[in-house]
Amino acid sequence: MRKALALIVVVLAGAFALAQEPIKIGCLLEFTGACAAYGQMARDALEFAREAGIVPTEVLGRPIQLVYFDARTDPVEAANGATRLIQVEKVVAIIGTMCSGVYLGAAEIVQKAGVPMIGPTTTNPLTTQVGDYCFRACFKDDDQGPVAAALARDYFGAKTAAVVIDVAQAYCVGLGKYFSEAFEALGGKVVATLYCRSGDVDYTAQLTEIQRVNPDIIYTPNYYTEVAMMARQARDLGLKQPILGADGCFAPELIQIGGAAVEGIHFTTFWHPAQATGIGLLYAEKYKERFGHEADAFGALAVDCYLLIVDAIKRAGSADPKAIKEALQTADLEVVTGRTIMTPEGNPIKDFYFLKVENGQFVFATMIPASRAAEIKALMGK
Amino acid sequence: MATYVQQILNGVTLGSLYALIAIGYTMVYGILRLINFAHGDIFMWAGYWVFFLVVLFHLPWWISAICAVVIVGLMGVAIERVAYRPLREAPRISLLITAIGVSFLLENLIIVLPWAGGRQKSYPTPSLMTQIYTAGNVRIQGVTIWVPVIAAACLLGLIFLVYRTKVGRAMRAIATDIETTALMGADINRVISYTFLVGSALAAVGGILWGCRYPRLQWDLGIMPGWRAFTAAVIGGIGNIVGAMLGGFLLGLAEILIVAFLPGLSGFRDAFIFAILIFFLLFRPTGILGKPMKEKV
Amino acid sequence: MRPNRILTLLALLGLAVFIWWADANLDRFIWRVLNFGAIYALAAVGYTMINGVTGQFSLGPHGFMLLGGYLTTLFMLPLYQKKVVWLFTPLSWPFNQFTLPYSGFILALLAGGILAVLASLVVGIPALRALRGDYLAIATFGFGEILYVSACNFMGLTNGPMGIKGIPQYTDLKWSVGALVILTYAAVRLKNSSFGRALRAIREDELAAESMGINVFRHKLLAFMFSAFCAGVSGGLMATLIGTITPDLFRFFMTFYLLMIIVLGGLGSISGAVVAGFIFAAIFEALRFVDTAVVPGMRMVVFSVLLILVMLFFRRGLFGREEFTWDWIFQGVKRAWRWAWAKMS
Repeated sequence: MRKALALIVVVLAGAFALAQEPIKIGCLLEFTGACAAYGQMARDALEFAREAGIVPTEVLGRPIQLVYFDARTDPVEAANGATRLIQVEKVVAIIGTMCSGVYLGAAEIVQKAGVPMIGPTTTNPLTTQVGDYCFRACFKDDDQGPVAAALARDYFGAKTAAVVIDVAQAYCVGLGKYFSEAFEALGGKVVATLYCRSGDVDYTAQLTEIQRVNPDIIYTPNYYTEVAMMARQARDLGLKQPILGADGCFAPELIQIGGAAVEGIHFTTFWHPAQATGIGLLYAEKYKERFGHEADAFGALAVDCYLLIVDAIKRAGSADPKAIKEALQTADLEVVTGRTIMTPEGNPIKDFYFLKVENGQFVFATMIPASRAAEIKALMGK
Repeated sequence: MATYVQQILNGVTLGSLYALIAIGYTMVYGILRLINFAHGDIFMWAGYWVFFLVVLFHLPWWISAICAVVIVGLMGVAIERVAYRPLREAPRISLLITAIGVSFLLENLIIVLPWAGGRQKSYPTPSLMTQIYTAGNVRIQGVTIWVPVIAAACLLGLIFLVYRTKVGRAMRAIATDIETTALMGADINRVISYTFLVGSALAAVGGILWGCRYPRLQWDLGIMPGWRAFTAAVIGGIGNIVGAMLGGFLLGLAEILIVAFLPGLSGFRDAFIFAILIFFLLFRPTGILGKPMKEKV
Repeated sequence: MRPNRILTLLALLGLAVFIWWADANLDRFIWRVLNFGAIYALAAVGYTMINGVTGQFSLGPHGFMLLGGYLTTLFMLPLYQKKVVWLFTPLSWPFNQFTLPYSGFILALLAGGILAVLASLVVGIPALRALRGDYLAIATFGFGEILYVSACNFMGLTNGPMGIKGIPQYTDLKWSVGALVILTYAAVRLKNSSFGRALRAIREDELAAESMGINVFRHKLLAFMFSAFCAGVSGGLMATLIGTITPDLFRFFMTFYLLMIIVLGGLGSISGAVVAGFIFAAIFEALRFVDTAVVPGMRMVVFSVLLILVMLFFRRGLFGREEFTWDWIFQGVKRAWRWAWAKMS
């Protein structure tokens, strides 16, 4: 009798211990390198959201544990990190990375290992083409480019454009080309395509050439520091054209480094806290209370990934990576940046927000729904 | 026409910045025959020191700048003491490898420092430097006027130091023949420390002014300017201070004008710099102003 | 057969058995680290030949690894990927016409090595003839950077910074360690031959070597070509291990790692390079906790400090300029035995 009791106690204790075993979610983020700001914003947002109780910290009766890895804006590090997260830490899903080029480094690994990975802001179309375990939480650049082109034509009335592309960043090259194709298809003319490289600080040569051809608008789909430096030098040279950027602009460093030069810059991005509803509104308000400044899109999307994974685990009823993947493919969830409907290819249908810098703040200008992007692509004959 | 003037002015600004860094490189090389890989990173640290002093300690910009120059000069002395002096008798390859190690260390220290980190920082700039003056169609930033002036002043000061002071004489002596100079009773260690102090301080001035022109601080800020400065030093004649200044100007102008006239090739900017460097190393290693060095058997 | 030979053959046999087992059964994480170790060791073996044995300071192996990595990729990448990955500038002729199956892997690796060798001629012939010491280092570094910039810009060949994904991951221990064994054997034979003696003579005193009748330039060039070949093959193996490459994979930090490895192993020691390659790969992963527990980037700080400390206090490295011999193990065992015996009496 006592033996049976002991056995029951042991079994129950074992089950209890097992049940308490945390579900690990990997966070493969860039804390150093060109995308350092994004990764750090993502981590801050995730930690804050968990602390503030905006997102659940346990699911299926088990606590959720986040395991962080610095992907160093390096695809090889991402590959190593993914391997380690999967083999050693035994994570069931991965949030990350912020930059598309880095994501691609890890993508084959997670696909082979059968662990789903969601990129919060990986906008390059290639990332989800690797396989069905690769997801993203944001729109794609082959939509963002046409949307930006349409905005250039309609919002700014631009007939000619100059595009400055950073050849060292896959994201910039992709987006620049998508924009140029769309802009010409919509009747505009790209009068100059100029190149720079991340880490370049001097854009005066390219800008002086732009001055010579005098376009109606300048498109700079680069990361925040490059855009800030370019804007400064453009204004110093006396260029008065509007500058149009992309989602890479949406970091506080843009304003810190750019100063008065970035006033009036417009860019397409994923979200703005002023437009938030539901859980997004709660997140934005609490974020502002806690940090004293507005929430950013990179952090918001990282939290979205978290919510999507947790929701997938709940619906699947298990923490098995395969089941999570299948549940993710059919996700339809209200997250911080709005409603996310996932497609089996791993690309959600998301709207485009158009922001501008006004008085040193990021201000909402207008919103372009996802359906419009499809219309524009149809106009282009795609 | 205005465009060309604008480009030339840009080239002059960039060139003077390279010149300031190049002078430090060439001084150290002339005396120690060491390519101080860490020189570009010292230059980066100066910018960060200004950032720390202004943003964290709330000191006025000018005081921070002067303090940064002093601190970075001392950093250079410390590096020489700890990492290079013990290896003075060792084969040159060891010294070079250690310099590479110091360079990586300086870069990665910035990444791990909580007040700096991997994320880019905005450099505080005084309005004197950022103010725009217009002359017709040409727009001149304050920096464009001040950098060449300060560079020229530094050059004059340095020439005075090297040719009119006892320490300078010792430096020139060591550059010619270090062993004999030691035998003549000069305190080699002190002179070398002094060299590093002055060289690093000049790099610091360069770094502080660089930030005024390009106000973005980042851990790898110093790498490419460092290589360009080295190229400039080689072009002008390594070991020759005036040559370094000349080389700096030429390189800055060349860089701006190549990209201005061949905008499609701007992605190859860095490749051009290294191609120029290799060309000079192969065909004119003594540079424009250098004296041919005879190798004794 | 001499006892040493027998021991070496036995060791190789044991290694072969281990690889056969490990490729199928070893924990995938450790397996990956071993592969990286072999790849680094392979590049290091070539690197120590030029830097250590010949004393010619090259700072450009990262460029040769880039060439090998990309060419191997272009040979092996499936046609489907070739259409998909090159989104804008389509992949140029002839690479868009063909792809090699697994049986062609060795051809792809060799091609990568050969391309690296050709490139080494481009920079080696002018540079090794005219430059020495620091200047040679700078010239080779500059060449590596030019290759990097070119890789970023010639998008028709490399897809630029977007990189290439979907590379079939053919590398496993039998390939990486196999290549390592073959090239290490070649390196050791070279080093112990009159060719190797000439290299060492050049390292000690170039002028004296020249006056003894050694064609200094030819020897330097051949050593340089060998190092380029090793780097090229290791680059190809790396590309097919990771499955994705971008030009950023082959920047100067790769040369920095190799530098650390050959210094740690002993400048001029082939076996040192091999051992240090594996040690480095292991430490690199093991120290990862420093990045997560302390602060990101700390790992590289540790490495830099390590390199400086090794250069200051431990410049000989693990093996100095010597090679590993079985005698060492015998001596070590004898000494340990004697010590234990003395303790027990």
